[in-house]
Formats: sequence, C-alpha cells, structure tokens
Amino acid sequence: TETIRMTIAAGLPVHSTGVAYLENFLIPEVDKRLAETGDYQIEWTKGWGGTIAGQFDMFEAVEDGIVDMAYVNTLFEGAKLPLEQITFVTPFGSTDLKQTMATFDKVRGQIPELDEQFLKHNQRRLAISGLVNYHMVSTFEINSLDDLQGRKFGAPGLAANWLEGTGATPVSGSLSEYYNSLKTGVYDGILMFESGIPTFKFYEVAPIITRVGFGSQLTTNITINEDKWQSLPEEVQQVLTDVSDEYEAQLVEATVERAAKGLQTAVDNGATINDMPKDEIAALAASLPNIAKLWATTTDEKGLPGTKMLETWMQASRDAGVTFARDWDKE
Amino acid sequence: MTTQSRRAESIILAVARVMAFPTTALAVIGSVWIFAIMILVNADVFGRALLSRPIDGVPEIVSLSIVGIVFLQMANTLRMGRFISSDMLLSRVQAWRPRLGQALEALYHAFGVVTFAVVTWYVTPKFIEAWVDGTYVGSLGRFTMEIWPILLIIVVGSALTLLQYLAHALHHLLAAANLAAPPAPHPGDHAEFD
Amino acid sequence: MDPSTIGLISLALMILLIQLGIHIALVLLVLSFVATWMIRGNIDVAGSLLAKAVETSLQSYSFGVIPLFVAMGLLISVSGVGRDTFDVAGRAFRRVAGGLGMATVAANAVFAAINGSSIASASVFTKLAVPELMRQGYTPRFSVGVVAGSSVLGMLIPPSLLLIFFGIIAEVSIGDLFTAGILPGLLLAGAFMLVIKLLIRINPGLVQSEQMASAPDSDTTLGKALLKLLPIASLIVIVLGGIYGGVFTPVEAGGVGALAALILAALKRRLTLRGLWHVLTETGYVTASISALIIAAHMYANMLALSRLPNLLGNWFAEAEFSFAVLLLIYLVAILLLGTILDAISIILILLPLVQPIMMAQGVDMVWFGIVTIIAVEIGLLTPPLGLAVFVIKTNLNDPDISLNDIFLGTMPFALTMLFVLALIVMFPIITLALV
Ligand code: NA
Ligand code: NA
Repeated sequence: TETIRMTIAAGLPVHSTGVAYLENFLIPEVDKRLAETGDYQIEWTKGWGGTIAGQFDMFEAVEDGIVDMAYVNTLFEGAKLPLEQITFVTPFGSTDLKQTMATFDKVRGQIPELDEQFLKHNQRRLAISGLVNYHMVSTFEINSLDDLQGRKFGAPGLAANWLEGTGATPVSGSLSEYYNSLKTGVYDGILMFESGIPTFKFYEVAPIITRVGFGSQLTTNITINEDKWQSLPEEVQQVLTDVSDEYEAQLVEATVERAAKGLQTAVDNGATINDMPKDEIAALAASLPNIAKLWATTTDEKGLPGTKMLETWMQASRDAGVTFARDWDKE
Repeated sequence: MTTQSRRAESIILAVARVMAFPTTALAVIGSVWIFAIMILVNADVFGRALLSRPIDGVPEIVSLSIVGIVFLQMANTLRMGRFISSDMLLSRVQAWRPRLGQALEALYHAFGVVTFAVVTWYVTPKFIEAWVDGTYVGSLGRFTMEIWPILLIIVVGSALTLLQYLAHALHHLLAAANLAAPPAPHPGDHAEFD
Repeated sequence: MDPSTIGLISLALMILLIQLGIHIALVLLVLSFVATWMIRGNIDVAGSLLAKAVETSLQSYSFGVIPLFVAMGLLISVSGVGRDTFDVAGRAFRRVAGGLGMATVAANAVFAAINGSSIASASVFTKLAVPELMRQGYTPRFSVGVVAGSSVLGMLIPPSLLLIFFGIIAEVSIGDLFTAGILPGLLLAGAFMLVIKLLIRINPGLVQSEQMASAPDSDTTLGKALLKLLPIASLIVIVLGGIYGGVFTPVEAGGVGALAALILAALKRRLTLRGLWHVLTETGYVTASISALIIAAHMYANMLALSRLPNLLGNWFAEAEFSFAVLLLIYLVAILLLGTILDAISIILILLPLVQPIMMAQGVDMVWFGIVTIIAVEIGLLTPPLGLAVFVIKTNLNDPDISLNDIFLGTMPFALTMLFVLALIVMFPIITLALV
C-alpha cells in the first residue's frame, strides 16, 4: 500500500455544515473506497477553522500549494474569480439552491472560462455549494419599502448592492460584528442567509425576519491544487471525483434542510416571520441600479466573457422556469 | 585610536547616516497614515450616526492600511532598537565577555538579514501578480481598492529592514573585533511623556 | 522525518532560541519557515506561507485599530489626565497600603468596559500607571506586574473581541457570553486587590522598593479632586455611551477614543504640534514591534497545524474515554501549556473544535464553558516565553532597566490569582450564569 499525504483545510470551523461533511463524509468515504483495492491510502492533515489558512486566503493557499485540498469561499474572490459571482449580481431569481446549482452546471458546459479561471490559479474544482436564500433580519417591522428609509443594514460584499437605491444604508461589516451591532443599535438590520439565522442566534437581538427572497447564492467550491492532482494515481483521482460528486449532492440536501430548520428555530425562539408583499419586492428590485450590467461590462474589460455569462445565465435560468423580479440582461 | 578603528568608526557613521534618511522618511509617512486612519474612522462613525451616510470601504481601507503602516515603520523601529527580545542571557554575556556578546549580537542580526531577504524574495512576485492582474479588495459597484500598493510597501519595507539588520550586524561585528565602540543598546530618541 | 516530530523539535528550539536573545519575531519566522520547508518538502511552499503571513495576518478591522488604541493611551498620558486620575486615586486610597496598586486594578476594570482587547488595556495603562506607581515608590516589577495582570480584565469584562470570537466559533450567543463575563471580571478584579494586600502583608519588599512617597496634593479638597476626575470621566462616558448607545462598535471605539483623547489633550493645552508628532512616532514603534510578533505567531500556528500535531492530539483525545472532570482538567492544562507559546486566537482555533463536541455531549453549558476557556486562554497572555500582554508592556515602556523577565516575574502573582479564580468558576458555575 502506497501512502499519499494530503493536506485539507477550511476557513470555517468543523461544525459548519460544509466542513462537517468533509470531516464526516468525504474523508472517511475516500479512505473506505481506497481500502477496497488497498493499493493506496491517504494520510490526511486537516486544518479546519482557519488554522492553516483563513477564509479570505484559502484560494491563494491552494494555488501556492500550502494546502492540497480546500473548502474555498469563492464569494470572497470577486477579483480573481469574477464569473463565479453571477448569482450575487442577479438577485431575485431562483430560491431553490438545487435548481440554481443544476443551472450553473449547464452554464459551465457553455462557458469554458468558468473552469479555466480555476486552472489559471493552479487548481481545479471538485464540488460546488451555496446558500439557499437571503432575507432581511431586523429590529423593526418592514411592511413596505418606505420602512427602510434611513435604516442601517449590515450587508456583506456584493450583497450590499441589493440595498442601493432603497433609502436604507448598507454598512459593510463582518459577520462577527453583526450580533453586537444589532444589539446596540449600530445596525437596524442585516441581510442574512436562512441557515445563518439560528447559527448566530440573531433572533435574540433582531426578532423580525422579513422574507424578501434575494435568491440562492453560489458561494463555495471544494478545490484541489493542480500539481497535486496531476501527481495522483488515476485510481485516487477517480475516487476523489466520485466522492466529491456525492459530497456535493449530500451537502445541498443538508443545506436545504438546515435552512428550513433555521427559520423554524428562529420562530420557536420568538422571532416573527413576515413575507414582504410581492409588489414591494418588485419595487425594491426596480429601485436598484443594474448591477448585473455593470458587473458584465467590468468583467468584459478584463478579457473575460462577462456579458456572455450574464446572458447565458439568465437564459438558462428562464429555461428552467425561473422568473426574475428583473430581467437583468435585457435592460 | 588605530587607523583601522578610525576607519571602522567612519564606516559605521556613514552607514548610520545613509540608513537614517530612508527609514525615517518611511516612518513619517506611516505616522501620518495613522493620523489619517483616525480621522477616517471618525468620519465613518459620525457620518453614519448623524447623517446616515457611512463611508464605503472603511473596514477594507483600515484592514489594508495596518499592513502598510507596519511595514513603513518596520525598519525605523528596528533602527531604534525596539524589536522585542529576551535580554536575560545576552545581558549577562555582555557583562562577562563584552566582545563575545557583540559577536552573538552580530550573528543574531545576521538571522534578520536572511529572514527579511526571504520575505522580500517571496512577496515580490505577489506584488507583481497583483499589479498585473489588478487584484482588489472590496466589492464591485460599491468600493474597490487595488492591493498592489500595499504589497509594494511590504517589499520596500522588508528590503529596508534587511539593510537595517545588515547595518546593525556590521556595527556589532566591528565592535566584536574591538574596532569600534558597541552600539548604544537603546538608541531611541523617544520623547519623555509626563 | 515525520511532520509531527518536526513540529515538536520546533517547539523545543523556539524556547531555546528566545532565551538566547534573538528577536522573538525572527525566531518564530525562521522556525516556521524551515519547519514548513521540511514538512512539505518544498521551499517555495514555505516561502508562500511566509508571504501569506506577512500579507494577511494583520488584515482585519480589529488589528487595524490597534495603533489608535495605542495612540489613545499615549494621549491620555500626555494630557496629564492619567496623572490627575492617579492623584485622586492615590488620595482616595492613601490610607490603604498598596492603594495605588488597587486603584490601577479598579481603573482597569472601568476601562475594560470601554475597550475590547487586552492589548489596548496594557498599552494604555503602561503609560498611565507604571510611571506614577514607580514615582510613589512601588517596585518596577510590581508596577508592571499589576498593569499586565489587570489588563486581562479588558477581554473578560464586555465588550470583548475574544468573547465575540469564541461566540462565533462555538456558535454561542455573544450577548450571553458578554453578560456572563461581568461577574467573573469583577471577581477577578477583587481577587487582584486582595492579592496586593496579601503581598504587602507577607513581603512588603516585593511591592514597595523604598519609603512610599506621601500621597500627593494633601491639600486637595474633595471638590478639586472631582474636578480632576472630570476629563477621564467624560472620556469614559463618551466611549461607553457610544458603544452601548449604538453609535459605534467596540472596534471603532479605538478611533473615537483616540480623537476624544486628542481633543482633551488640546483643550488642556498640554499638546503641542511637536508633542502630537512624538505621540504618532511612538505609536508607530509600538505598533510595528507588536505587529511583527503577531505576524510571526500567526505563521508559527499555521506551521504547527501543517505538522499534524493538533490532529494527533485530537485523535488521542477522542480515543481515550475520559470522565468529564478529567477531560476538563486535560483541556485546561492543554490551554495553559499552549498559552505559553501561542496567542489566544490560535489556541481557541486549535483546541475548541476538538473538545466542544465532547463537552456538548456531556451537556455542558457552553456559556460557562466559554468564560472558563477565555480565562484559561488569557493566563497565556502573562506566561513566558510568549506572553503578548508582557510584550505590549515591554514595548510601550521602552525602559532598558526593566527587562522582559522582570515583567514576567512581576506578573506571576497575578497569573496565579487568575488560576485560582478559574478554579472557583469551574467549581461554582453560578458565578458566570447568575446574570445570564
Ligand atoms: Na472589555
Ligand atoms: Na504565554
């Protein structure tokens, strides 16, 4: 039996869903399948919770070979992976993560630059995952767009654009500051994904959840360093590919379930859930600048197919039956 | 005083003069930057609280700035002898065998030369890549800031720190060879606060 | 060589090389670089890890405001407000032996409510309290020791960056953690004061080097004293009110506090342009030397993770089926041991994921567990060879007559007191949970 050393890392702690499935499913399952033939075994070095590289450095850590395999938060890599940001610049679309992932898979076939960008940074993707849906979590009631006037919202990265033009003030803070800022009133609300609401117990300080439906977001990839990949025997490559596919399928099930449970947990702990009226959502969408077009143009200027990506993505989504609150590509 | 030691003293003096200007200049920029960050944080806080108008990108600017500030100050901080070390053993050696103490100091500072040479060597390609690719932090449509200037500061600051380590090492070496007076342990010119 | 062996050797070498007197940041950087090179068998990987540490270790808003907290401490000192406060404290405590030491603890407890980190507390109080303590005849070791010891209150009494961090990693309510930190913080402050009293009774020479200087301004009336307290009180009101009134976050408080202290110093006509320049220069020195350590410690922790040492420790933990009491004891000892060589955040990152599932299976209250963890981790700020609070004091003090070892020795009674309070909280969880 030949022993292969593999360093695998994540910026998030081991009990966060995506990392827990690496620890409890992917690693043991790979070990099990390799043991079936007994030709190879992997000696894993695990660096969860940012002990080897943090969330913001992970993509580069894989590129440099500091780690071999990693849970990479692609949503923080807007500069190096612009095309991967497509869901964040086309909000108010699908709220079905599984469907969003299926659509993305189709688009991957049509736009080879998507995967080439990973290779350009010396790695390849083995699995994708994301978040089910984003809503508003706030200390005050939101019935109409007017209620947002002058309110301060914690909003991460590109999601801050979802409030542009609503009269609310997006404040770019980190997840770690949300709880305390809501508690003391530095923020009046936050944009939050469903599964994160119970994780960080935001209902304790901001008990009103307004379902807006900014849509499912693709945020994460499992990637492997390309040099490492090429050094692996074919059998190991095959096992990693197969198990990663299963990891992806299992993880999305767990994520969807966790999101639904998350809202329920919030209600059980005294939160109220309201649906923002349809016409108010439409008004909210209409008030935004066309962030998708801006993103597409900027991406084109970098020599990447931004406009093509936008059009292909929107069309593939429509083909799958998704109606957007705005046709981002057609304005 | 022998001719040799006179020459050694003049070398040390010349090196100190040459190093003083660039290290001080960078440190001055770093100090002004600290002041600017203070103003920026307050403008953001009060803009948000009083006018509902925060300044976009303050967390990103402050996060990157600290890296820049530190590397602008690094060489000067070393020049002033403010890097932290344990002096228990070294102070005893200095008292017991002064020249051995100086030789050890020279060796320790040589460690610094190598370390910062390695830092400079490995950060330089990161700087070039960020410059060519236009790598930025922040988010499109709101606030973006290219990171190459910060990486450039790391490269320049590390290179200067390397040179400062070299200057210290040289001084200690000459002192160990009994050609020059040992450097003052704490050359700092800090103000007295009451 | 096996990676974990390389990791172990690097630990032994670190302790040795630091004692030899090499710059501590250099020791950590060189060892991490060489060890990573050996573990991964590739020098470029080690170089990339070094470049990553240099570029990203400091990149956060919380680190970004460190210079502002440092500047705030210097400005409070320049403005004479610190001196005034201690005049009054000295007057209030003048009949009590060790009064100014106790006043330092009390003032630190108050200051802890307006800042989120021990680095900030240590920076501010080194400038504020140490010169005054020494002027009044306290030994240098005691003076720095009491400042180092009471600086840990900054992380225990809310707001606290470390409690926020724990809350996120452990998925515990940060609000509950904050509330739970209040009583242990006050208890610790009380215990520190008691220890000062005991030290004086047992061996006054440890505390006072000479005839104590008489309490200053014996003609000060109560009214005058209160007037002197007005500036520091208004500073506290501004910062505390700002944080709890929702105007700014504890991190942003560094910026607001620094500006408020600047204005205060200007109003008191104690700050010339030249003085301001000296403050900024000194802030630069302190920031750069502390930051070099943070970068190096960060890379060292990365290297240890690559060496698989934490993995092996975790496996051993999971396989041995310990009783709860034994498990908790091992956990706390592990924190204390790691605390000698790693920074607080790295320790939590390495240990918590290993232990938390086991603790939760035992039905342990995570809020209590969080406070216990934080106190144990904070003891590490005070223990050699790597004690961040001690380093902060050393660099802020910039006094060649007070060595690093003097500070470590002076800090010892306070580290032991923390251990005692930790034991109390382990035995009586109600101390943390009463207010929650
Ligand atoms: Na605090
Ligand atoms: Na320590």
